[in-house]
Amino acid sequence: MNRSTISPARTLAATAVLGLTLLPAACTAGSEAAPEDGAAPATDAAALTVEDPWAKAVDDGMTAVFGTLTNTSGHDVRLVSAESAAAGSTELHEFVDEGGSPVMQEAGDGLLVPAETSFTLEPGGPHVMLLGVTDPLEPGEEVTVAVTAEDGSELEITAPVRSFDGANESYGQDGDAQDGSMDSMDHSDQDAGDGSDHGEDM
Amino acid sequence: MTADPVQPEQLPADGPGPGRPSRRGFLRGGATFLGGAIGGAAATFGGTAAWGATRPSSSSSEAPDQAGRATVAFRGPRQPGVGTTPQAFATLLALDLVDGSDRESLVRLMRIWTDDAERLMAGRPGLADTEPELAAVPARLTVTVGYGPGVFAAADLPGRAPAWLRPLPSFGVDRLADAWSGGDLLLQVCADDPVTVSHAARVLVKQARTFARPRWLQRGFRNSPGTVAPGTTWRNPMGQVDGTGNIDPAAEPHLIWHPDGSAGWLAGGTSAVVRRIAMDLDRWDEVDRAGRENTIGRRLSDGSPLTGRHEHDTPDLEAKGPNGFGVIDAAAHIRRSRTQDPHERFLRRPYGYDDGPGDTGLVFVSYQADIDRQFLPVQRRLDELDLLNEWTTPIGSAIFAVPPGVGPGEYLGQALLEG
Repeated sequence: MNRSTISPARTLAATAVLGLTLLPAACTAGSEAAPEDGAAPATDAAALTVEDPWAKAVDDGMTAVFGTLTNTSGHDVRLVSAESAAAGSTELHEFVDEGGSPVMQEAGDGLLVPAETSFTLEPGGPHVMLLGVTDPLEPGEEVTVAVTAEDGSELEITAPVRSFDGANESYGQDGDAQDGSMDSMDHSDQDAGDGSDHGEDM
Repeated sequence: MTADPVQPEQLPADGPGPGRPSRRGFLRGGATFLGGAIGGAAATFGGTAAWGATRPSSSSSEAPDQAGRATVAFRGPRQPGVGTTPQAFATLLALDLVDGSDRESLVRLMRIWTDDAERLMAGRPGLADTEPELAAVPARLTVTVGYGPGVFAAADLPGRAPAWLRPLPSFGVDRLADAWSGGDLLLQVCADDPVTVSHAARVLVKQARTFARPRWLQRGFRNSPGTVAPGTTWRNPMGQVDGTGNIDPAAEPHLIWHPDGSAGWLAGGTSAVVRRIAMDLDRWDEVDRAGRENTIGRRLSDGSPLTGRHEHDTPDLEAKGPNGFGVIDAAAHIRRSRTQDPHERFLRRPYGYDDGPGDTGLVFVSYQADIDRQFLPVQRRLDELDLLNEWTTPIGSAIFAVPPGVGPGEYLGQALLEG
């Protein structure tokens, strides 16, 4: 749970199942050469696909968008910023070990999606953080975020909103302070008062 | 990339929806790639497959986890879980909408349930699924959604509620408890594995928590896959062969589903009656076999009518015994439940329940196009006279309109909520 899922082996094998030609990394990394199955994506954002995006319902304050990004291209893609009309500000967050205790913080170098790899944004891992939400994000709605890659191209993610009790991150001293701890991720009764929960246990 | 090119399971022709290969899909893909025919043996059952005819045919290439891997199509003109051959395990849940519910919130809930049902039935986790591994065994999972009268009130669409959508009249045999009756929404979750049912029900209820609260929950069971020959009629907890005279959804669909064109939003929809029927097994113990068979009018050994030799022989209600009395008792269950009107029939899809000593019975579930025309006349006759009433007592009752199935790009109930 406390890690991002990066599984190049999976992607490579899946490509093999597809019957596509595997190009040696040396030929594709940083190269303009088109893969055999078509032209290389024109932009970084065009190289990415998003699977199963979703966002945690929230009345106001903070929430996050999750999902699996797959870089279908032969070159790495670095995401550097994000924006959403639903939030006062939007940040790319990562998960770091700070003196033995895991904390969330803004990803200083952005989020890297290596070539031909899937990269999972998930509770307890990297995610797109929405701060300063003022209008409730209600379950069953959708929220849109635009993630910007290093080359300036934008990937638009439309994420269905779902009830969720986890993703109550703990932050380092320079983060946006929030109570709750990783240990309480699945226990809504322990995070009363953080204002980020939508609804109650039944 | 096209969707799910490496997904080896024979997912429904409608496709697994948006998205790309899941990790599980990939792992399965690898297994298939290496294992050859094993993955290819996975069976897919159509949601409208003929009653009694959806068991996988036995073959040497059948995977040992075949029952777990089988899927039912979610999308189609009719909801799954009605014409689907009954799975081994069921959870029926009624929920009540929270105050302030309206059409907009119902649309959001239906979008969520549509997405969750489609994913789970395909063996994929729901969004925000905290136990995604539990979704990996679809086991013919079906999710069926019904609307009680409260949905039409909340949606401000009272004129769209079918005339028959109202609590059943009180019957003399009834001893109904509120705890087992009514409800604004029905979730019927069925699968051939109880772990699958439990997980799916939890995902659906959890994601509905800002919209509706559980009112009652009934769990039921039938025979597990592979334990009885395909097509075997189920036995209820009283030991009776139960369902011999059931209708075949494929042969007489008009008895279950409203036809296209004439039913408005309900085209392709049906109705559900859910009644909890307690069985007094301790007092049933006092009855000898002859008395038990006389109660129903069928033999316990094979379900054959007392006037016939085989289970599916037509009962001869006119036949007289040596003393001039009917061979099938005047108050026998099969005599009282039969009428001359071919429309007074419906699809029974019951499950047994066993919640401990003295708390056993039937989760009676029936589907019919029109409760008033099909179900009520039969229920009235049984209420008036049926030997079985001596040992059975309805303790819960609920009725629901079951909206049609979900087409590509649609959500559950869309024709009602947007039409």
